[in-house]
Amino acid sequence: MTTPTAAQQKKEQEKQALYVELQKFCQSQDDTRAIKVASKILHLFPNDEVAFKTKIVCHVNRGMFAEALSLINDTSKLSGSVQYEKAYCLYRLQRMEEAKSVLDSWQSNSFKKVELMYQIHYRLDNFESAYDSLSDLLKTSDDEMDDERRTNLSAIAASLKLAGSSRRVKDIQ
Amino acid sequence: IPPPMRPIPCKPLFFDLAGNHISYPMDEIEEKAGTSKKSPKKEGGGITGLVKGLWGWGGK
Repeated sequence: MTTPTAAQQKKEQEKQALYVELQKFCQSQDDTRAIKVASKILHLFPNDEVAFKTKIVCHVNRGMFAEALSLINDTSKLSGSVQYEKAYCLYRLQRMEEAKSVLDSWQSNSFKKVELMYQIHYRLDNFESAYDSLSDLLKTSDDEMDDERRTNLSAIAASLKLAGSSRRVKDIQ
Repeated sequence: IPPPMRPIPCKPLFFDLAGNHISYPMDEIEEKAGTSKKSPKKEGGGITGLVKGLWGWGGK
């Protein structure tokens, strides 16, 4: 009777040791090694959401968007926690309509959802929507990227003008 | 002869800021590694609790 419990315990210990390794590689941003460790965890525990998400993030960091996307699509039981990452991969693969529909159906009102959405609108030439979303975002955002956001807002405003929109844009400080 | 130069609109600079929102789930990784710096939910008593917290035995 004790055998399965002992085996289980050993497996858990193994997992914890792998997570210590994973933490080390993430801290040093060694994505190649982190992917290997995350895969080992997933081999032992195929339902491990944290290892799965880490593996996806590592692929994105390495610019492997197609690989990340097929991993997400092939692992539907764990894909719920990486909808943002899925939309971002589609965005980077220039599949804007698909990226937009993934974000649209993602149940979240997070800041990052709006950030990716206005970028998608911009790439889809929906400059009005992009302008409105980013203007709203700038009212609440307060981090070190606000200068870059204002640069993006001026790019959107310029595109609005070029597209012949009569939309009045506010001064960008 | 080359035609006279004339100004044309250039593609404006546009940053990809959405990529910055993708990061490792460090808190969960630390929790599963047993190295979480957050104090354990259950308050251990005295020095035993401290030792448990230090080595991550009190986790889960």
